[in-house]
Amino acid sequence: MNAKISELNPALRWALFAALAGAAAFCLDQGIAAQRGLRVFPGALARPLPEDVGRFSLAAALADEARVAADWGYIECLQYMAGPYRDDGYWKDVLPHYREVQWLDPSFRHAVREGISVLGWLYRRPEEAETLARIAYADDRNEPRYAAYIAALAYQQHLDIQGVLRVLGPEAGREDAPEVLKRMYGNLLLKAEDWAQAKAYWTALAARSGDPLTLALAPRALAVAEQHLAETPDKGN
Amino acid sequence: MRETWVVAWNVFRQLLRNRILAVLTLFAFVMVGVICFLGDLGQEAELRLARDFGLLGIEIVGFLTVLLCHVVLLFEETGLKTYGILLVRPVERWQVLAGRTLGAILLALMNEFGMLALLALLAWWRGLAIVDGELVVGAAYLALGVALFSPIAAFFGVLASSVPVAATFAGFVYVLGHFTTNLLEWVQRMGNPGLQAVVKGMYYLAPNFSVFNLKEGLEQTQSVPGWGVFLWPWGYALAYGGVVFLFALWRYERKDF
Repeated sequence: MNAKISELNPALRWALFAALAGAAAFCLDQGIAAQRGLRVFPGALARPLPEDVGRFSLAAALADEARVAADWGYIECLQYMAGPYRDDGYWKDVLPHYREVQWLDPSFRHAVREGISVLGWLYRRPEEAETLARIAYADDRNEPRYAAYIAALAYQQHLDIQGVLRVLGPEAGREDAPEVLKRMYGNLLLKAEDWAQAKAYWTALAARSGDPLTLALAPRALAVAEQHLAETPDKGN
Repeated sequence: MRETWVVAWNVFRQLLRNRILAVLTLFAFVMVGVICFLGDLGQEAELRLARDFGLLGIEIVGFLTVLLCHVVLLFEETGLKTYGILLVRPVERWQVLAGRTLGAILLALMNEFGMLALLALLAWWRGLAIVDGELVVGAAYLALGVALFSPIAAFFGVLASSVPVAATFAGFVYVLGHFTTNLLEWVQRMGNPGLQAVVKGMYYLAPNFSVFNLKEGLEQTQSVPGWGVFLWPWGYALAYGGVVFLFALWRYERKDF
């Protein structure tokens, strides 16, 4: 096999290049179309951009690395919430942070649910939580759990604790629910003075959770519930 | 073909002797450590983060392996003049170029397999299901993309006058190859036909590495993927790699040493 491409007839050589380039272009178009058909969600850039989207996120979305950028954004959310921003609008940028993660990857449902939970019940900004929940639900209609959050947030805005507990009960019982939501649900049971239910819930949560903060809070919550049950034994039955 | 394999195997062994692998192995270990750390930072999303950053690490290590291989081979060719000695033997230039391209692919595949094994070890140690079928398929297609990068790096090695120029061009094209698909989609919505034509030209001209990014689709899909998802990237790698290789060979055959 001693044929040299440099010794080929130029027309034949360029025809060979053109044929291969045409095949490459055809395969590329077909491959990208097949790949886009596989994805449930359109690309990040095909959906409305959040306000003040970061340069890193935008570049990552352009480079087809939106999923990794969403992971990175999620770490930033957690870092931000652990930071000293009490006096800076009481962690005012939680919504933009979680919104960016949701925009980058709507399939990152855990992060979205967590964002809704912390905004709604940790930072007590149910309107912002509802904004995030509604955007997430509009992008991801296959996730009915967002509807439960929206309903619970509606009760929260009317300070109807029983309503929140009723709607979020099944959600808090799920294994993959955000840990912050599980703790919040337990605290709401205490706030509703449903001591027997609170005791049962925190006992079950402490038994199955591996989260250090949950495990640290459980004994305190149980002590409160047990103290009240001891004072009013008839409510324990 | 026998000569090509002999050259490829010798390139592979030569690169191993150059201790590139030692540096890359160290880098791969560091990457796995970083993946482990980032996974920890992700708390409840540890598994997802470890998988995603693991695949990213595999891609980066593969890219660096191929780039470094070709940089070293080009340095030996231009600086040390080792290929001048090789070319007086009864081997054709296409066999040398194909051997170099295959040798770099072999080393990249070995490194990627090593990274996957490290991830599996990490998964076993931490009791997480990091490595599964989807991740292996995703990694395999990233490796196919890295394999396509080898003839591209060889092409710039032939065309460029110096090692830094070749490395810069190859690196730039690799990065560009990740952007063009989304850039085209974005420009198509802007309604500017002139800009659209320019970006479309770039989309076909530059290598496209988005076509090998199956991980996102495989994670999202709720149905069995069609055969096209798996076969078209192979067709693209062969056709685009083929045209780039032939173009590089054409220039290589006319090159004076």
